[in-house]
Amino acid sequence: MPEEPPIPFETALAQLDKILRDLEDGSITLDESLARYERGVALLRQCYAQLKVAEQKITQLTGLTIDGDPELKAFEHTASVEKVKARRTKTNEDD
Amino acid sequence: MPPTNATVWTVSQFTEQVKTVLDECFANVWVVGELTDYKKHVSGHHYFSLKDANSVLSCAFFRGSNLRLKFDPKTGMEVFARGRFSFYPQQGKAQLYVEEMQPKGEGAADLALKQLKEKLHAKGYFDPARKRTLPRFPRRIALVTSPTGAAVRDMLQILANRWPAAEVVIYPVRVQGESAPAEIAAAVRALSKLHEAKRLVLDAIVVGRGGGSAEDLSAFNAETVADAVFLAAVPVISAVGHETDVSIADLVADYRALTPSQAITALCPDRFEVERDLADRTSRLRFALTNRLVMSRDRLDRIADRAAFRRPLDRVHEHAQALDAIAERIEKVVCRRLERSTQQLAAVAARLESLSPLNVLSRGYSLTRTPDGTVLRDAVAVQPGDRIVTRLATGEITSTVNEAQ
Repeated sequence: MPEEPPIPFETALAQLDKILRDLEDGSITLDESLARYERGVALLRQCYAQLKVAEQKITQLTGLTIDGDPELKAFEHTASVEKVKARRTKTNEDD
Repeated sequence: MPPTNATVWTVSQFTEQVKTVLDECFANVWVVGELTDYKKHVSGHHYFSLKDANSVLSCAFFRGSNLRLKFDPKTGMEVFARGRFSFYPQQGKAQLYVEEMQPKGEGAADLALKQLKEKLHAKGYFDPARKRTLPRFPRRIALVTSPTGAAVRDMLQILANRWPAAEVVIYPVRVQGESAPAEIAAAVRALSKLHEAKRLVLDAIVVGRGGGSAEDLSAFNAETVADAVFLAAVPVISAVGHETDVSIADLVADYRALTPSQAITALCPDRFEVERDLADRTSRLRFALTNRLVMSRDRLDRIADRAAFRRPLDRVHEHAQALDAIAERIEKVVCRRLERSTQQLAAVAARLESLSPLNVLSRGYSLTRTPDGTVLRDAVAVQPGDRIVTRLATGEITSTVNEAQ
């Protein structure tokens, strides 16, 4: 399903609060109220969708490409422990 | 003239001799005293004097040696200086060529830290006004720390519990040892640059490590780290797990966390709290709209309830009635006027009637005329024998005049 680009959580919440104020104020027309309600529901859905991310995306920056973009690889805690320990035999970098 | 048995030196010979003697006796000495007249020449050499209550000693501290200084020497400081005492023939004076200098009293490292703090403070690095607020709902966080330490494990653990929505980028660095300051500073700089170039947009950078002894935290006291944190394009949280010592990174950072775990707690909202807030807003939204609908319905009902909508012909009838009343009034006015006109007409007619000659005749008067129609008003106008015609109310009499007087 094509989704609109997710707006920042904070922005979504701020917009939502504005809609709530307008609706609770009761000063806007019924048509506007309905439109805002729909917008509010869409915003809430987006917020919930962002919250529903179950798995955190964790990467490790390994360097930069020639273009200057970051090179990221999946970060695996235990695996990297082994690797780094093997590499740094002299100094104990662990804290 | 000197006596003939006396040895006479040229100046150069003599100073050369003095230099040799001094170099032999004072190749490596420690002198304690107060720094005075401390001057840093543009060449990088330092020139100053050491003094105590009674004496003064000239000193030169060349660039190659003074680069290793761990603190910033200033006039008035008590120091230990080590070097060789020698003669400087060109100026004809003996001086101490300093190779090493240490502050008296506190250790060089402590003094250096104190001095660095003063310097950075003066540069405004610790100004509370420039501290940025942390994002409320971070989307991407960079962790500059050892990828193998307890710190990163703790932080990831809390991130998973509190705010899995955030993407985490780990920038692996050494957090202790000679290269640590440069690595940490380079990491903060690189991340800033990536953020500014919009190649890796970040909401915050956490710089930290787990707890250690004061010495272990030295990397976070380095000026290069302070500079990088100060210039960072995104808010920086320092998370140097050491509650008693405040590192320079702590002072420069936008937020100082006592531990790496606390850094994440400060940076990320609790997802369950956020969910509760969202649920609250969901019900408020629904309630607000329902309320709005009820309000509109009520208004509609009130409008529909008005007499005009309830009995729409009432208004027409009202108008009709008003029209009737007006018509009646008009009729009355017209009638009255008509009546008055009739009366006036009758009066005029009566007056006219009274003036009519026939009316006079009817009361017994008569009108007499000659045959040619001339009305007779005087008897002399006729002769006996003339014919006259008398007009009565009804009919005419023709007569002949017998006598006129």
